Amino acid sequence: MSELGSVPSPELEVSNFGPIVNANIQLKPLSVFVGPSNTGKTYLSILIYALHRFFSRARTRLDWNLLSLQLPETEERQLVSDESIDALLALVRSRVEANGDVHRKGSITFTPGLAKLLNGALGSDNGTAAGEILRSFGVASPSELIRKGKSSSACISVRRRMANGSGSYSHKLSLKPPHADKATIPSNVPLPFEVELEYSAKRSLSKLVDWLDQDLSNRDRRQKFFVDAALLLGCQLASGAFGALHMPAYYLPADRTGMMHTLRVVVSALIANASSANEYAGVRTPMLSGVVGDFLEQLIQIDRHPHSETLQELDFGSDIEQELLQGSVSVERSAVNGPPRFSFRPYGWKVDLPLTNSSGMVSELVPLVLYLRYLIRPGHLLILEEPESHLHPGKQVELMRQLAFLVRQGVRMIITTHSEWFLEELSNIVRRSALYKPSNRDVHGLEASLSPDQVGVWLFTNQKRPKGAVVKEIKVDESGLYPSGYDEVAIELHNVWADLTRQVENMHD
Amino acid sequence: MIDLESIRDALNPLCLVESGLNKNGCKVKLAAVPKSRIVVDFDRPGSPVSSNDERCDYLAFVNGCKTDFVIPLELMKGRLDSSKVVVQLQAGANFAQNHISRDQVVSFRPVAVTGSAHKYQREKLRNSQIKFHGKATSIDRIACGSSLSSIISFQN
Repeated sequence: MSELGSVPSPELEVSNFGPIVNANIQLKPLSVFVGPSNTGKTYLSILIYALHRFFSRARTRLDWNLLSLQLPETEERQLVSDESIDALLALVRSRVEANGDVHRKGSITFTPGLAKLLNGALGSDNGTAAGEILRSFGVASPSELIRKGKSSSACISVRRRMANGSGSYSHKLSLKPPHADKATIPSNVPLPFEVELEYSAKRSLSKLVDWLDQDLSNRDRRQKFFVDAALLLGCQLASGAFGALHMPAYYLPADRTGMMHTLRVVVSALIANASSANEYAGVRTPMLSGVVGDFLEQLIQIDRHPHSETLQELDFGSDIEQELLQGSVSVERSAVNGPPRFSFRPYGWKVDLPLTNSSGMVSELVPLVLYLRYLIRPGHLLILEEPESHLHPGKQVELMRQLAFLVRQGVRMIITTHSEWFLEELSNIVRRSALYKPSNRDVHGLEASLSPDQVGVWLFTNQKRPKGAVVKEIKVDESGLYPSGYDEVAIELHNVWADLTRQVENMHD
Repeated sequence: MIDLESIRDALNPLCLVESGLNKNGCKVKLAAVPKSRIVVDFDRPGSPVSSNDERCDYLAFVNGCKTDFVIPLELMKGRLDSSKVVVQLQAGANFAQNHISRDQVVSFRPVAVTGSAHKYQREKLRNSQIKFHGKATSIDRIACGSSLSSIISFQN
């Protein structure tokens, strides 16, 4: 499994948020949310998406040059410890010495001055994290996200505990105006970082190589090196503070099929509406939730991502084309600007099918194929709502295997599902990991196995007091299945059938 | 009405239980089940069926307000093996026939008490029947931790 996929997630604690009374979870490389409708699975998924957006953008908001200038003179303008500088230098040196791909871990320790500045930059009174949450949900007021009842505020807390009990990094926010965001980034607590020398990190490190030839005995020069490293490796360095939350996240909402069919119409209408705004003063463009808006925007720009060519070499979507769709997905653009046209060509055919003439399964899976082809890479989070929609059980099982394979490649994933087939296959995937030994690599299907610590299945259920949903982790039980509550439905159906059978037979006696 | 006293007299009192049905962590509650009842635990000392022979876990005789019940129970917390459950429940039915005459009107309700079950095993259980005095009856299911009253409540 890719090391980037193993970046730990912080603990996430949520209370009085949407329908959720309380949830305390630590996301795994693959997290699955199950349970009855209206218990908050989507709420929590969107919240995690919003937190990813907040933290992944925080690194670009941090102006390291400015931070270094803001340090009080008494701190001697020292941003991080000398050991941290040495660790970063070792990282750059390994880039020079290694021919192949290298994965490097290290740690940096902030000085009290920098920790204070970072806390100010990340946790602020202007509600930036709360603003991202409101945007992602598409609501205007935080009160719409606070659980109905006696609760007056929803609280969200993320905390990353460091190994060996050396301390923790946390960020808390309260969804009650005025929003209160509070970051707690301690000084003198070593913050692990890890860099995989692939993708952009490899290029970034190249730009730091010149530092190896310079005299770094001078403190100012060393700190200048750190600022350069922080600027170039911001993402990777920051990943230590709040774990995987610093990585980009992508959200594929439910109802993808409908959105795919209407994408061009919706985009044309939005453009027409926007261009006639002056003509029809007072006409308001309808509001979309951030997750749906982002989804539509990403689809429109899907093949224009700056790294799209590099990512196509990976093309995580090709297996899904081969194993599930048995055809290829293409993106076409007209000469004039406009939304792309997506089409599907079954293997062996000579013509493309527009999505509107393709099956529900194709429309359902096309966005997933495109995201995997153009946007998603190891370490990123993919949030997939109800991937079983429009899929025959056999295809659901195959899709679960493909998703497990992606998790093994380092893609992090959150799935919300109502599919018993999905969960049953997932229990097999976890079970299969027991066969894994270095000498056992040829066992069929092992590439789609995940160990129990890579998978978290969370059951959302309603409780009476206080009224609302609670979330608990469920593990595979003695029968080899996740106790998701689906079997209760099966038992009820079974007993109705048994009773009807008895009645019918008695009628004939 | 089932002659509970005759059945009680014919059995060793050591193998009778009032409550606390539990095999390997799979429990069945008897709350709201009519008190006029006998429950045989075939694993207890004095069991009328040897451990070398096929037998179910429990056999309940219950006199309800409107209906009387004969209920063999097989409890299985781990992986459900429907074939085994069917054999054990049939053994319970065979034993019950010795105490309930053919012409006595009772509701015969074999029950499998299980944890989560794979679809294949669920299907197999659904397609199996238990014979009691020559008449085949479908098997009911309840989850470990449930009450037996869910099976008999609407007929009681």
